[in-house]
Amino acid sequence: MGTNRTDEILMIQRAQQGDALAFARLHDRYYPVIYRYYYYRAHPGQSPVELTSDLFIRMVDRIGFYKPESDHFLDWLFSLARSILREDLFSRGLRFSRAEEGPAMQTRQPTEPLSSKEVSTAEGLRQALALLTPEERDVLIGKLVERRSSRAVGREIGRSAAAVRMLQYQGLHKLGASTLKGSEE
Amino acid sequence: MSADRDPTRDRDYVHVRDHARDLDDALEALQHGKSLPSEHSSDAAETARLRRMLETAQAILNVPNPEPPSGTMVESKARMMRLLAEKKAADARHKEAVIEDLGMGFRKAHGRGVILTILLIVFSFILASTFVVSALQALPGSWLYPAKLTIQEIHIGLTFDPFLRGEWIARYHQTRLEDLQKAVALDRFPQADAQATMTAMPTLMPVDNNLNRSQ
Repeated sequence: MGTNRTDEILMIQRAQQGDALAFARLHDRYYPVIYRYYYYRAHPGQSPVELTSDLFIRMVDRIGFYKPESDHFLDWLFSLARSILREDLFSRGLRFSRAEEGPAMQTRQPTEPLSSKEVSTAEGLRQALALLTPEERDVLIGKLVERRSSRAVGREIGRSAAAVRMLQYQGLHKLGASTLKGSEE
Repeated sequence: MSADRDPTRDRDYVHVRDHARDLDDALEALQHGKSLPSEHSSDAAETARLRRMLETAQAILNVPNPEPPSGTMVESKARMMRLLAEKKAADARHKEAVIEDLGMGFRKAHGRGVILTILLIVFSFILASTFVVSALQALPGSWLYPAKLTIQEIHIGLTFDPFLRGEWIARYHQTRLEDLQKAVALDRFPQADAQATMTAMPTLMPVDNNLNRSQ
């Protein structure tokens, strides 16, 4: 683990010096992770593929600002990914909505039930997550799909670890209720 | 019956916070490959709710990762590498432009001019210094001796303090007499000419007379 971290830091340092091979390796390592990030968070009309590609373009520009001692590289990439998503929404005229502003990408009414079978695929999960508020969705994706800590997810969305746990509880409660309804039918 | 109600509205904040922590702990255990705990709370309804939430969480954990469409990763990498190459080229151009703007390189005409001027000034300074040092060692009869006399005259002319000026005049007078004697001794200057020069010397130094007058 420590060696992996050291290897990664060395690779990042090489990339910061402009080494093309190091950039290629970082791209290969993080492309699937970033694609998954956008797959679950992109709004209808946004392309996860384009957003992922834009992220790596941004990474080339900004990698000089990354400091290994202050943050994990993946968390830094996620923060870049989040700002790209936000900018893309602004450019499309959509607001980047928080929980209090209401779900921005709701594609299914909360009363509409989901079956457990539907949630077993990535597409089904994406649709199920559309029932939640953006913050609940971010928390469930961060915690259960990306398997990050409450602290890391909280840092990304600007909430405390306790608030993240509460959002996780709410989100799972809503999803649990929906899937129950769906399976009962 | 209470499964569909929003728990944050039904219960007070502390209870929900505690249940949220219980759920998080259970999820932590789940993610580390442990089985679902059978009971989490003394409240049967809450236990059922937590169990359902954990099952949902388990279902989410089991969802396979979405695969990017084929070819997109290669395209994205190619795009990134293109941008990287453009960025490197732009950086190199910028560096070159900075060096060019400094004008110190031989690649630019005025840069060449500046360097040649500096070299010319340095060379002239070395030449002048060598000439002055050589002249100061010259004796009567040498072609450099008039230069030595001129340097002495300039020095006297540039000394504005009358007492210092008088001192320098006396010192140079003495030096000239010694030079004449040395030149004669070395047979570089005819003795008769030396005698004549020594006789004429006081009249050749008008400053001396001025000094005498001011005293």
